[in-house]
Amino acid sequence: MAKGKGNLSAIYMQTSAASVTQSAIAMSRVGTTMWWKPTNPIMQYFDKAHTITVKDGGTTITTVQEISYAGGYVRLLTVPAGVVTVDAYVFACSQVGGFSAHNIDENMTLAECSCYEDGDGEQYEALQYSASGQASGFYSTVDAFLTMSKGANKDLTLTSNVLGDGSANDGVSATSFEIVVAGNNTALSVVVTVAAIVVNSATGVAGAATSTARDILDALNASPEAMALVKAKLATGSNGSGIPGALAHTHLSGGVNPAAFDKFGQDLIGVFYWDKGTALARTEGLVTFEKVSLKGGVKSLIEKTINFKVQGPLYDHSG
Amino acid sequence: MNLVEDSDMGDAAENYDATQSSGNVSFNGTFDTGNGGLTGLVTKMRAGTPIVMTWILSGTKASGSAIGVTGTFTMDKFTRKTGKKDLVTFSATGKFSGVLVDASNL
Repeated sequence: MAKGKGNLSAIYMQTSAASVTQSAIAMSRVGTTMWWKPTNPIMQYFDKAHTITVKDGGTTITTVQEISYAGGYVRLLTVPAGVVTVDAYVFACSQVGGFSAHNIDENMTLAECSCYEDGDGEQYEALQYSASGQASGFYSTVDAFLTMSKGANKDLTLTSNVLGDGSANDGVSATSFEIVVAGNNTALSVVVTVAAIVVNSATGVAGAATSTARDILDALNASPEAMALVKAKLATGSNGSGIPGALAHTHLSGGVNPAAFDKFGQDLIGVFYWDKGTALARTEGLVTFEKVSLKGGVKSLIEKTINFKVQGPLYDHSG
Repeated sequence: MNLVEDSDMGDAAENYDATQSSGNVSFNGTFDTGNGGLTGLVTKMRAGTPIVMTWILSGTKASGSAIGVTGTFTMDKFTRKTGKKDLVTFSATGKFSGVLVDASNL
């Protein structure tokens, strides 16, 4: 047997105020299993308060075995003849973070149902399923970020320090980044104006940029004004030895709409990975954090160990 | 095996009746996502489905020579644990329903 090695988990939350009805959501079969999932991943969070209608070639299927609301999966009893679609209410959702370690306890309450002196072994029947767990090392993925794409060893990644920036609340940060190459024999400098970070690259006698990504990183880290807005690091795989040159004015993006965080206490989608290398497997379900104060926002949970309870069933999926 | 005292007044010694037998089963080790037996345990537990178990104590399965014990159990707990640098480990327990039966020709 190949060695098993733990992978991370991911936590998603609702980011829409209410679920929205969606008709004929295209579904794709998961391998050769009897599970089907939405082809479009943004349809993955079904609202359990509304009826889910599964159709085979437009005709409603009555033999749906299970519905995994957290992943938008449906399990059928028989292979359908036509295209599988689903009518459902769907929440928009975004990943807000995950954990570096986790354990899950799944329990089935058994009731003894044997009769006194029936001369046989004790008899048990399954009554109620429940699951809970504990996860540690919470990390947040709610912040807007920017990873440059100037080429090998030339790139930096900037991550916003400010949750809630961006007037449109659309995940696009007010914070912007720009590298300017101008003049001859100029020195490297960082200028911050409100939320705009401008790096003036050093130049040579002919006006070519001479600042490496590492030089720019050091300059950013030495600027308290810039560090108030972002965290900066070399992009994955970059050693910082390359000269990026000019970078157009670009806003950080990909952050979670801060207006959505009033729903953080509601059902979260938990995706917990079990990885043995050759066959990535995961367990999914709706989870609720226990004894967590959200007054400090999601970032106050970083590195925390959190207990959670599972709402309803958990499902295992591969891939 | 649970014993119930059924002595009568005046008996010279206590008497006991053997009543119901009970048993537990437990598993633990490294969780292999590709092992259908392990994933089957948690699937059966979630469904509350009893699991038929066959122990082969000697001989070879389906050869006509296998001798062992059969029984049925229901899972009541399945725990998995992992970390970024850890192996995935699991532990599981269940309770037997009915009696274990000696069997041959398994």
